[in-house]
Amino acid sequence: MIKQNYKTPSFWSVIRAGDTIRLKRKFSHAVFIIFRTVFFIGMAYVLLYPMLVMLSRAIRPASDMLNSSIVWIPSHISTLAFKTAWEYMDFGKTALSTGYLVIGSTLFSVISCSFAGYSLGRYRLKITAPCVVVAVLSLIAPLQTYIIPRFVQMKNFDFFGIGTLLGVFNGGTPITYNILNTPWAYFLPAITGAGLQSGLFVLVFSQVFRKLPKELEDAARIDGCGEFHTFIRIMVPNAGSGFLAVSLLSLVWYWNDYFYAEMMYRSVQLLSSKLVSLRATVHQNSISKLIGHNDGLTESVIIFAGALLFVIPPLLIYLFLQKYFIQGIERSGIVG
Amino acid sequence: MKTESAAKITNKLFKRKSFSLERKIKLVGTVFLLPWIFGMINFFIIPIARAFWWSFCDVRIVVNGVETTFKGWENFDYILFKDPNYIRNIVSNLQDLALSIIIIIVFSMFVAVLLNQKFRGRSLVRSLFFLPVIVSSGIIIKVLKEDAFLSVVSKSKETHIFQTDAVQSVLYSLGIQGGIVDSFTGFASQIFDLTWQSGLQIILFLAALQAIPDSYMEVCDIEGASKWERFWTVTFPVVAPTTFIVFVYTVIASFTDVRNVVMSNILGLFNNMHLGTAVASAVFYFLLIVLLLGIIYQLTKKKVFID
Repeated sequence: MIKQNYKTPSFWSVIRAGDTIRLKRKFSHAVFIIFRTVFFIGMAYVLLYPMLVMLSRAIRPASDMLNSSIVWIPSHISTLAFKTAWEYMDFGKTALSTGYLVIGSTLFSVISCSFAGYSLGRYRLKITAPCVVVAVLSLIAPLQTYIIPRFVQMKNFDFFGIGTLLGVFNGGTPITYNILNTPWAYFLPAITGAGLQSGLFVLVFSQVFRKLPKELEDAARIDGCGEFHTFIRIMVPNAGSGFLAVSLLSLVWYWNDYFYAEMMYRSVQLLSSKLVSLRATVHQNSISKLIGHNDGLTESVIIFAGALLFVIPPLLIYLFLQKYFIQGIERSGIVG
Repeated sequence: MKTESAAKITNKLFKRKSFSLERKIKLVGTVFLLPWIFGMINFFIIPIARAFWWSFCDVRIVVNGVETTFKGWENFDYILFKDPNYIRNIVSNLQDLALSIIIIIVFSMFVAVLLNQKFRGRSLVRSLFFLPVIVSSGIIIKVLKEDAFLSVVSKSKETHIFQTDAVQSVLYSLGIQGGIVDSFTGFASQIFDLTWQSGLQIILFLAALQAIPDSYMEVCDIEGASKWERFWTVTFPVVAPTTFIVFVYTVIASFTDVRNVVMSNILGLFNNMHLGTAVASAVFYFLLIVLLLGIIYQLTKKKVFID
């Protein structure tokens, strides 16, 4: 027998001790929850602030900007700023042409990157390792580093050397076309997997496809499904959320891009360039047409309206897709 | 004789078949990769090789392409020693980056841990935090910050969207020393920028947190680990490798930001037809960042990458 050399604690003392511990836990948990809620509310304010500012300033008449009693809610709602911004940015037409470029490039980019990512993720080839290195490099190297050679390349596009070859018969001068300011400046790199942020997308796709079980592929092979059909019928549907996340990111990044548009699409301004130059446009118009828009106040109201117009399309897409987008991002293993 | 030849034939057939299947699979894998390799060579490797070459040249755009004349280190000599702004901009860029990157990493990890918990309205809060990824602040914030009205109101050289002047004057009147007040309000006015820069980083950390197996947390429950211990012994080591990736993303993002002075100067140089100088400044900045990433990678490799 083991001799009990400790006092058996009384029933009540155990209850009390348990109570205090539980109470303490409950209390600290409550404090934590309050802290978390306050933190999130504060952050929600910070995150929504620019949207609210844009909205509140864009719908007010310019005279409200000087009225210090008006912070958020305007004295009356005026759509003048929207109309002017719409007109100056030529929003309908520009948004359509920008959307055409953005959607086309995203489509091509997703297809080409998923192909490359599938190969990098699931096949063991001799060239796999160097290709991954190149993908990482293209992710790290910013566009700015090689934008000028790319510009020259697009300005004198020789169809990947074919034009230069043909030029030999043409008396030495290579046959080139200027594809700046045409959709090809966007589509050609996207088709060949060299669009905006393609390095990232290739790596993401390789992660997504690598995670799918090997049995899927084996089963398909045994059933006599060709490699390409395996990819289309089995791999792509299973990687749906990854596809969605990449497409949305690509859409948004193309839409928000300013640098590439400014280099490649200068004469036909895209929406981002129009937004950045909106102030100059307002100045110009107010000087040439003698509309009193250059008083700073009207100008800033117009710019807020323009910025809001610019943000709305991606925001709408996000509102519809956000649930799937977050799922996709969580599952896609962007982390690597 | 007969059986032997049959065995030989089957052997041959079998061998050839397995060989051809494997080969076929590899061939298909290569075919999947070909368009991308083609694109990488044409739109990435060749342009970047040209950029490196042109940084040593005097570049002029002519009718059919460009005319380059080699002039050695002159471009680099110009940007490093003659241009008064280049080095200053880079140093101030790196300073800002060094300060903000630590805050961004800590902040996004903190938010990701909070967002990983289960609570009501989680999906709403999550979609709010990813908003910066969608609206991709760059241009919008640039436009808003340049706004005449805001810069008139806040009077300072840098226009912040949150005006902290009032707080500043209150703190001054309370008799707190100037340096402390300035650093505090400087930080407060940057909260906005930092939150808006950490959208993707939060996503990255969150994805890493989601990958922690439930069994780890069960063990913690059984062993009775406190939340604090749980974070430092389980969550943090698992998430730590992601820190490097987040670091890389943050550096790249600051690099390609519209508001990055060094990079927007490239556009200016390009417009003034100083192509060689523009390319040289981009190449130098790129190499600097690669060097930085390499050093950080070497330093953190042993400590962070456990497996």
